Amino acid sequence: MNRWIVAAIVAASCAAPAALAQGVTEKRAQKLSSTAERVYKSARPRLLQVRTILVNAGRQSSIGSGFLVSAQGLAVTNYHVVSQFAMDPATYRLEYIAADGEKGALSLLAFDIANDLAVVQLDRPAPGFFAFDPRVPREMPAKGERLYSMGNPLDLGFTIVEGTYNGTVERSYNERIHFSGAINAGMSGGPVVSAASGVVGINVARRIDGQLVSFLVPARFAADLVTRAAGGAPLDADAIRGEVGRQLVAWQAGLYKALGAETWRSAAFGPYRAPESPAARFNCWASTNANDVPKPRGTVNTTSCSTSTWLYVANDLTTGQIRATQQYLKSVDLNDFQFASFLSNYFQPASLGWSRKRHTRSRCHDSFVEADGERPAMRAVWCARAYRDYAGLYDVSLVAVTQDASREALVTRLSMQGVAYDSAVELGRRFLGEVRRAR
Amino acid sequence: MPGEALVVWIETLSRQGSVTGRHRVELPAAGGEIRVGRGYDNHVIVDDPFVAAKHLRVTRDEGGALVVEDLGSANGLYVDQDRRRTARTAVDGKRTLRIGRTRLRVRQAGDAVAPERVMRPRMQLWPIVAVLGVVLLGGEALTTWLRETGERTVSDYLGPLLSICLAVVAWTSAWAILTRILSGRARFERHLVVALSGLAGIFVLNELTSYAAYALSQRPLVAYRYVAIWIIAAAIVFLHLRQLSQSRETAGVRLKLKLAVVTLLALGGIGWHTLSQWEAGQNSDRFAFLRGLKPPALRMAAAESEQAFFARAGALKEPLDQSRTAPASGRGWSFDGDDD
Repeated sequence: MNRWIVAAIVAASCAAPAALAQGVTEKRAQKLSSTAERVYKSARPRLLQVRTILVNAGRQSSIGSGFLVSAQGLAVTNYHVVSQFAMDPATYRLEYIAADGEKGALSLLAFDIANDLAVVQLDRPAPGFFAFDPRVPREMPAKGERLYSMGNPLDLGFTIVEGTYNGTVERSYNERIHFSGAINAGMSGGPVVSAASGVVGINVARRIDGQLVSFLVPARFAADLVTRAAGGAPLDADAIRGEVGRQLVAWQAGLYKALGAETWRSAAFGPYRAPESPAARFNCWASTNANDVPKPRGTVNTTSCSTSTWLYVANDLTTGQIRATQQYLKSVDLNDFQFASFLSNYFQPASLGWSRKRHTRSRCHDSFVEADGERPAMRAVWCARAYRDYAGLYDVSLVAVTQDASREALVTRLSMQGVAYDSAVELGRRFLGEVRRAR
Repeated sequence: MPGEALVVWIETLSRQGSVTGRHRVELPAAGGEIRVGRGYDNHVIVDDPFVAAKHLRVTRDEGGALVVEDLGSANGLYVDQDRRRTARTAVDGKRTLRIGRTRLRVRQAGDAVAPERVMRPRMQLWPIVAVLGVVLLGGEALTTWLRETGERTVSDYLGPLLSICLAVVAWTSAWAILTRILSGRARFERHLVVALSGLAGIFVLNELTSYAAYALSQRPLVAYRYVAIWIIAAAIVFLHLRQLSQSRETAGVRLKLKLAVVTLLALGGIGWHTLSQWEAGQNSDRFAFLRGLKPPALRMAAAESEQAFFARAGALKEPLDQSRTAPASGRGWSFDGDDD
C-alpha cells in the first residue's frame, strides 16, 4: 500500500515542473523531448526486466532491470538484482521479460561484487544490443551532460528518466558516477545512456535521504566484466561461493593497502591527540552533548568517521565498511567513581550487525595496555568474528579507553567489516599506537 | 506392684511430636483396661473419623508391664515408624502409637522426663538487626551515589531502599509465619538477622567482585559470580530452615533433608542461570569483555605491552577459524557469562 502512495507522490510532484516548463521556448522543449523519445525508441527492444523467482512458489521475490550487450544474448544487470539467486541457486531461479513480453530463463555467467555488476545469458539470441559509450574509459562526459536512465521502476513498466552527469562521487573507494535523476527500486541494473546512445553507466543506487541523488556504476567495469564472461559456462553454487570469497578478499586487500599508504590525519581531543582518518576516504561528523538539557554532568565530544563504501553481498550481509570514532569525555561535576561509571557506558565496541547464518560468534580479548612514551595507559578490547561462508574474512571491533586520568578520558574505537585478520591487526595497531597525550 | 491401681497418662501428640492433649486414667489392679476410641463408652475419646468406635485398649500383662492391643479396627495400630500393622505391643512411655490420623503416647508416673533446661539470658538481636540494616541500606545508597551519572533524583535513592525494605519484611514474615505454625514460636528477629545478613553478603559480594574484576583485570569474577550468589541464597534458606526446629535438641532432626533441599536449590539455581544465559546467547552475538570501569587508581593488574595485546588478539584467529566450520544451525557450546 505504501508503495502506491510513494509512487503517487512522485507522479504528482512530476506534474508541477512539467507545467512550468511550458513557458520555455517551443523549439527547445521539442528538442529535449525528441532526444528522449529517440533514445527510448531505439533502446526499448534491448531492455529487460530481470526477475528472481522463488522456485517453489513460481512467483517473483525480487525484480530489477538489465540490458542486452551482445548478439549472443549476454545481458548486464546489477549483482544485487541476482544476489538472492547467487546465494541460494537451489531455492531461486532467474527469469527475464523482454520488451515484446517474451519470458525466458537467465543463467549467471559472471559477477563483480565491488562494482555491483553481473553478466547473465539469455536462452535466445538478442534482437539488438547496446554499445558502450565510445568515450569510455578514456574520458568521461562533461559535468552537466544530459543522460537518460532506463529501467522498470516498482514493476510499473519500462520508463526513461532524464538526468545530468555530475562527475564521480568524492571519497568513495569504489568509483561511482553521481547522477542527478530519479532512479527508483526496480530500475537497478538498467542502462544510462548519453544522447548518442552509448552506455555511460548502470543504475545502481540512490540516497533515500536526498532528492534525485543517484549513483551509477561506470560502464567500463561492465565492459570489462562482459569481456571476462563471454564464452563462459554458467556458475554453480560452489563456484559462486568461491568467487564471492575471492572477490571480497581481493577487494579488501586493495582497500587496506591503499589505507596503509595514506597518512592518518591526527586531531586534538582535549589534551589527547588521536588518528581521525585518512583524509581521502572517510566522511567525518562531529557531535557534542554540551548544550543538552538537563545539563550533562559529563561532556562527550564525538567525532565519527566512516568510509562511505560498502559492499552488498546479500540482504543479510553487507560488508567492507570501516568506522573510526573518537570520544573525548570530561567530568563536569562527577567524582572519580561516577566518572568511571559514566565512561563505562561509552566503553563499547561498535556493533556491526550479526547474523547467525553469516557469522560465527565473536571472541574478545581485553586487558590493560601499558603506557608507551606519549601514549597513555589504556584499557583495550579486541572482538573478532569470522565469516562462515568466506574463508579469510573477519569483522573486527577494537575499542580502547585512556586510563591516565580519573576525570577525563578518550574512548577510541575502530571497526572493520570483512577484513583479513592480519590487515585488521596491522591497522588496529597503527590506530592505537597513534593515541597521544599532549605534554 | 500388681495389687494397686496404676495412674496412666494417655497423651495425644501433634505431627511434630508436641503434646496436644493429656488424659489421666486409673488402671485397676487386676483385669482392668483403658479403652481408646471414638465411642462415648471409652476412657479416652478420640475425635478422628479414621478411628474405630472401639479402637484399642491398654492392659497390664502378667509381669505388670503396659500392653496395647488393637480391638479389631479397620485402620489398625501402628507403632513408631513401623509401616506394618501391630496387633499387640508393650509400651514404655517413649513409643508413639498411631491410630487413624491420631498419634498417642502412653505414659506412667514413673517415666523419666527430660532434665530442666537452664535458662540463658535471651540474646538481644535488635542491635545486630540495626547494624545490618544500616550496612545494607547505607551501602545501597552509597553505590547508587557512586553510579549516579545523570540528574540527581530522590526516587533513584528511595526506590531501591524501599523495595529492599519491603522485600526483607515480606520474606522474613513468611518464614516467621511458617515457623510459628511448625514450632509454635515465630522467631521473627532471628529470621530477620538471617535475611539481612544474607542480603548484606550478596551486596558485598557484588561490589567486591566488580571492583576486584577491574583491579585484577579478571572478568570471570563478575561473569561467574552468580554461582556464589546462588550458594549464598541456599545458605540463607538453610539457616531459615534451621529455625523451624523447636529447640536446640531437635535441631538435628531432618538435618539431612534440609541440607538436601538447599543443595538442590543451589544446584537448580546455578543450572537454570547457566542454561538461560546459554540459550539467550544462541541467537545473539554478545561481546564478552569486562564492561565495568572503575577509577584508574584502583588498577592492580599488570598492563600488557601493546605488542602483547595484539599478539593475543591475533591468537583469536585460530579458534574463530575452527568455529567457522561448525554448522550455523547447530547449537554450539559457547558460554561467556553475564556482566554487570
